Amino acid sequence: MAFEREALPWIDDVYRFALSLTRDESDADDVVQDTYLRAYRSWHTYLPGSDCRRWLFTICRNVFLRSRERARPTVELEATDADAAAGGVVYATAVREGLEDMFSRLDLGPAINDALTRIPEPFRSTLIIVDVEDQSYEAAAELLGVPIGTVRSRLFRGRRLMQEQLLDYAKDAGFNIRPALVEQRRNA
Amino acid sequence: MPETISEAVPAACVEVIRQVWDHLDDQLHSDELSALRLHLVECPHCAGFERFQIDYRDAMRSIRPRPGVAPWHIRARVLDALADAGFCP
Repeated sequence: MAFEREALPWIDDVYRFALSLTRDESDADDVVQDTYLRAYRSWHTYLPGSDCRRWLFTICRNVFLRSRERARPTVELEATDADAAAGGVVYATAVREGLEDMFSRLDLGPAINDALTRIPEPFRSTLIIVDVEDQSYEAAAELLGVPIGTVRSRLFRGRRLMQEQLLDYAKDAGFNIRPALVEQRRNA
Repeated sequence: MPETISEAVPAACVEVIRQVWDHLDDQLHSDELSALRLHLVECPHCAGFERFQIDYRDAMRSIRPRPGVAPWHIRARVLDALADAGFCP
């Protein structure tokens, strides 16, 4: 059967994508199941020979967003290109705090996962698709069902929000205190 | 702590700040890219900003779930749910 031949082989990729979106294995399980059920029921809308993986990812993303809407209302924030320039303020703050190299110097994996849960939609999904999953603007626009310009503006806002959170985390954890300064204070 | 863009970013660099991500996301036209690269060579502030964003991007990519096989129970759940919906392989 065409569904078995074309859709089922992508279950590994769909699971990994669902895990990227949910950051939770149990939630990812539910999303994958719902994705394939919806895919099966709407199989007549799929164009044979087209990009089935991307088609499934689109369904997966919509399933995920519906589950989030049920759990928490979506915060609609108007993202503008001013956020792009505002990213310069975050960087300047990082430099003043001695954290301009925090992403290369520190293991921020757990902090990134935590920060992602606090980023409101629609910025969170966009960050995951582009920054985590390394998809292009074009692929993200298709997955999200929005124009490329919207992807761009959401990324500017989302990246600024992420970096602000991670900067606060690094400061709270004391990572802005350089080892040399620690030694100096110890010897004082 | 700088609170405004004008306090934190030199005026000549505001547009460059906006273009750095266009560049990293492969959204910049070739003539804009040439001008940007020239500025990055000459401006340590913007070169540092670019480095910061490249490192951020690498950190974000590092949390990507590793490719692999979905847990066996996922496949079982999916096939059971599909069977209930009438799917017959």
